[in-house]
Amino acid sequence: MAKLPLSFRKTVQGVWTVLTNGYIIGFFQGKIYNGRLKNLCVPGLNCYSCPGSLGSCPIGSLQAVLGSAKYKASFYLLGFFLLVGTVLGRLVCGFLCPFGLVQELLYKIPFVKKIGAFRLDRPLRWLKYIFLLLFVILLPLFIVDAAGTGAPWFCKWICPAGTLEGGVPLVSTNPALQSVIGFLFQWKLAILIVTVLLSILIYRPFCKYICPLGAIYALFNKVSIYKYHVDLQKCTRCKQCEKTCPMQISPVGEVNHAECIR
Amino acid sequence: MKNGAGLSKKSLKRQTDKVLFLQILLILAGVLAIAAGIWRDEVRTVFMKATYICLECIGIG
Repeated sequence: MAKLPLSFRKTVQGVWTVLTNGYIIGFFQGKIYNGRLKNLCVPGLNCYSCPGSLGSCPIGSLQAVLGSAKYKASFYLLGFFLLVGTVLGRLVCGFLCPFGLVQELLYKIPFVKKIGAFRLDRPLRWLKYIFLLLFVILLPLFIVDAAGTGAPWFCKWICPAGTLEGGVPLVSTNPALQSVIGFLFQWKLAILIVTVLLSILIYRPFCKYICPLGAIYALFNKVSIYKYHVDLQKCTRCKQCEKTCPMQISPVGEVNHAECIR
Repeated sequence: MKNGAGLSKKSLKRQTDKVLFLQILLILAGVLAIAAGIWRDEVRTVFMKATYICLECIGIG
């Protein structure tokens, strides 16, 4: 049987990215899709201001609901995370996240010495829970303007996916947006450049240390329906899986660990 | 009879049943929460945010 030119994972990632960002005309016209599909969230981190995006970003949507004057909790997003997390866990990160795919492709760039496990790697992975709690939940909920509306703090000050998928294509094709760029755009562009550079050296740095969506799905990894089963009777303890795992976890010793993206 | 993790068949079955119960519970809670969100019209807020260019997301302001 002929071998596929791409791995199964890369094929799924590519097909999913194209399917969920299929509004191609948006890239040429500097506009975004505004049809009914945007009522639904996609499972991965996919900016809804990406010109091609057909669905909504769950992290952006959560901040939009929490930051609105009308609601102080989001049942819609809570239910979405419960459902997707329980069925798939961090499989979403591994297979259904366009920004994860971008980082993986950048990591494939050769001629650079890659950074594997380092001393602060594990403690730094707790950062994403702080970003989730602070920038996605607390700040949009409690720092509000006179109308009672909170800003989407994570999208505004941190998210490099929004800059890459939404900011760069829209600003480069829309003269009206070009005329109003300022400090915030430069700040977000700087974060994107740092993320891109780090992604060449470290496997999925944004997923490991920053992503609040990964932090949510990580909570479900132990109980999700899709998970790894290790047959310890067949395991030879060669630790080859541990050496190969790009997330630097032990698939046998830490099976279905919160950091496992499947 | 014990498996590789040192668990007897009986305790392994009990553990699997517990996880299955939790999975069903979480999925039911998820479906109910989504229904509650739709009933509260949260979807409109999501839709409104998603169908206009999010200036914060793209770094304009």
